[in-house]
Amino acid sequence: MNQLHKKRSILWLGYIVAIIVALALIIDAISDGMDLYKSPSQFLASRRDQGYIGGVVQPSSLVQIGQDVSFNITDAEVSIPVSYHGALPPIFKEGGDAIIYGQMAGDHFEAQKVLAKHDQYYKVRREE
Amino acid sequence: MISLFSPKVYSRVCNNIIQFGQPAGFLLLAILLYLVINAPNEVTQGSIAKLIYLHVPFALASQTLFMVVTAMASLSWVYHIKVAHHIASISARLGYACTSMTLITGMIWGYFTWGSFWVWEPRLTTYLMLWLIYLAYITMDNAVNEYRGSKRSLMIIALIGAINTILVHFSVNWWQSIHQTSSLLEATKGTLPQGILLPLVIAILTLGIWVTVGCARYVLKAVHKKDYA
Repeated sequence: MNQLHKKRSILWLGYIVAIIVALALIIDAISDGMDLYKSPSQFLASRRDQGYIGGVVQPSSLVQIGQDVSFNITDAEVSIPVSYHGALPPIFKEGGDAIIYGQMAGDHFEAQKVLAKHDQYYKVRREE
Repeated sequence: MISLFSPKVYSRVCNNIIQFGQPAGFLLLAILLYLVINAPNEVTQGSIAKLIYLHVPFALASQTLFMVVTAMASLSWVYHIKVAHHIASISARLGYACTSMTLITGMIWGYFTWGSFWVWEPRLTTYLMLWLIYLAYITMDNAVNEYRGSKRSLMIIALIGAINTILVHFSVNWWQSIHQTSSLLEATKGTLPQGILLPLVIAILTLGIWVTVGCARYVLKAVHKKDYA
């Protein structure tokens, strides 16, 4: 290891430390805004009326008349009635996870966008 | 450790990789095709979930390759190891291709499950940043080779990208996202049934071997050219 190698090793460490510190500051600054959605209870507690909500589609709450859809989105604590006009995502189902975007209109949530979420658990379909 | 990077040693290593890797790569690819065709469908997603055999290997490769880029770009600047520069160059190009494939397969998968090609959520956003950093690295690499520029700029891009790969990895754990958390890392909790896990592991091995052989071929060719230092 000659003199230049030694100098550059130390400089390299300096770069790493500088970049990590900068990134830590950035992450700390943006972390609150990085979440895509809030849970239904977090959303109600935030007293905002527009945004993303992510939760479970309450079983036996889904009503579909043509393109008009209504269901409840829920976590363990609260349940928010949702109305939506449009096609539902392919894996959307009662009891499954969904993420919706829209705003509160009186006592219910008017969704402009409905997305389905799949978790990390995969199961094999038994073909008959 | 640095003697590992002497031409004698790495030429032999590269030749061995090509000699054994190429037939192994073809064999694994044949096994993989057989396994994927016969792989079971997923309960909720159906056959579209078979995209896992492309999406996950490409995603893993893209992040691993960036770590290789970082290590090699650092060695190239700190210790002036020529072959490290070549390994970083090819890893960046292959990694960029893998990142693009991950994005494409992911978008198709997302459209047929979530109901959207793209959502500005943590995993997808940080991963797009990885794609852009790869692009920056390759552009800078071309400039450095053409104008005999300093390799320091390459190393700095690589270091920033390396920290971004950490963000990509933990984005789904730190923040609420539509993207699922890693099934592979939680495989011991039974996230992946054997019918899906086996082809997935073979797919990862196959891509790993093809990428390694690709690197070895490029390195052998590049060090014989010697058109730049």
